[in-house]
Amino acid sequence: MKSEILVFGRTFGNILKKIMSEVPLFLPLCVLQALTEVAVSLSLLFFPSMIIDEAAG
Amino acid sequence: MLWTCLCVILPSLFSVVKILCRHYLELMTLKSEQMLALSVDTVIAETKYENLENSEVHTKIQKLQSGANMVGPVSSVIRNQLSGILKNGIFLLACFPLIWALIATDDESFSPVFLETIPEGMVFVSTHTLLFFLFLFLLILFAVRLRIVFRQKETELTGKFVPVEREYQYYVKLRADYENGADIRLNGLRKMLQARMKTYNCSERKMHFAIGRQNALADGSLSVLLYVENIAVIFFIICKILYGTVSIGGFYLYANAFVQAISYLTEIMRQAGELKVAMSYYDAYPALWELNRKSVLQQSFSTAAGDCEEDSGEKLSYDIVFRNVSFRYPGSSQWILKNLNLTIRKGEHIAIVGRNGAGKSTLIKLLTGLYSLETGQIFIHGKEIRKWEESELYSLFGVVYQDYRLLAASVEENITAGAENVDRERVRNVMSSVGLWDMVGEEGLRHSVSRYLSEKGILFSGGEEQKLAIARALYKNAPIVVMDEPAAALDPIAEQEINALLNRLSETHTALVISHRLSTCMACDRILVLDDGRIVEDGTQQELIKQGGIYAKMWETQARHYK
Repeated sequence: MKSEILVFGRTFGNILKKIMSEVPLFLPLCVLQALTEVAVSLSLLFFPSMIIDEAAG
Repeated sequence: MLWTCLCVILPSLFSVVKILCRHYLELMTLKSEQMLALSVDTVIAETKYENLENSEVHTKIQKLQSGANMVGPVSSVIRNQLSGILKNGIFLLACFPLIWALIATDDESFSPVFLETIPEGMVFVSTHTLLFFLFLFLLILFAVRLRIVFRQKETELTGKFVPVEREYQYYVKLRADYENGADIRLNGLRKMLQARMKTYNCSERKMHFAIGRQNALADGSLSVLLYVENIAVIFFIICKILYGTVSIGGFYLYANAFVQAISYLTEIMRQAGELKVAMSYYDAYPALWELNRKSVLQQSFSTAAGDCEEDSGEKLSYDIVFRNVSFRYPGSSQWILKNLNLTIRKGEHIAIVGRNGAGKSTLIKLLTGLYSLETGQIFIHGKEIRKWEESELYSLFGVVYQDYRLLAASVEENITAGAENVDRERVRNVMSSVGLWDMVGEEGLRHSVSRYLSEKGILFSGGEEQKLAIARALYKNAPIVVMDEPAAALDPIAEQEINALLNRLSETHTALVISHRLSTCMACDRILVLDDGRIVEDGTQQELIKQGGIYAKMWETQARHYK
């Protein structure tokens, strides 16, 4: 099990390193994509309650 | 007013950024995929020739192909799963305040409503929050383990299928291959190929059925587990409500937070599992990238072990020296060359003859550096072969092998190997030397040598293709010319022309010719007879005939047919 995780980690690390060496924006864009998706969901979730709060004074 | 405006503007703004980001990331993914494919192509093109014989290397290449078919391109998998894990991780964290609020509800907020009527078991659950969380944690851990086990089984199943798929791809390629088309039709190989492909289809169906069964079992068990987890959470909150530590109004809030948290956690586990399965295919990438590094290491190891000193000054006047060379192909126990010693002077024109399997082509492959030496040494221009840079070594030889290949590119590209600065005069000269200029001409140089990629391709005969391969070797103008059966597909007149050409070449080049046509050997300075991996005869045509050995017998046998 431990060696499996090591093999997985090494493979994943090597491939990601190779991708990042040629396409340095790959990982930051992955993170940005995730964050924007979270931002869209959270903004839709929180802003209605803010409007209600504002209307309620 | 400000919040209302923000409510409309901010989500729209985030959506636009999200879409832009996704589009740009798709482009980046494509670029990464192309780069990874190119990195493998480069490794395959630059690796030691002997590695191309290794079926493990081909299985790894097929593994990449199978991975793309089964889980999608590696960059897409990394992109989707990484951003998915991050997104679900943030959502999971967002659920924690509510979960913590439930954990933290204690007796201070205790307001018993149904304390008299609820069973003792429910009281026990509501008062042992940590124990419940431990139970839930173990349940989730069990689900994780189950998912890993199922994924492993799936990986094993698909891993077993990779060699079968490689075989299938071979038959698919063979079916449409022009060069094999005639053999397949005339020798009745079509039925055999179809039978093999049907067997593959059957294996593929079986594999997909087995994977489908695994997935159904996995999805079913995990759904049941998820259901049990959700029920446990709802039961726990109900217990808390009945005990009085959570209000009835808080049920939806807490239940929703828990159920969402479990679903996010499950999704993270699924995505991590997908990533792991993908990596079990794509571990072929690092293995292939290592291929060239290993060749270099192996080479330096053999250099150290081989005690390969520079040749002495006296021997520097020799172009090529074989010293105690023994060789067997990787993975084989049979020695092809046995303690072979040979010296070839600069400008010598050598013919190598011998029975089939005597080791003639192997000798050439060792000389040209296509295979690594196991024992012994080879010196070229006084420098041990293992000390030559690969590109420098290859540039020493103009070679025509018996199994030469022309590319589906223009005649000129085939001759000049796609060089940027083409010496047109030299192209014209070499084409004239092999007798192809009148047929091809200036216009024909731009036409393809096959119709595989171009409608305007010229269809050359076998002999003409061989002449073109010779022209390619001549254009390179390398100091050592090596020809393995250069006249195999030539008519007697063309053979005579090529022999004359080789004679002219030997004035300025060292030339080695392997040939079963002894007329090709007549004009050579020396003839070497190879038998059972050893040089058993060495001399001029007259000397060898006088000796009455193997060469004399071969000569007598061939000459008899012309008497």
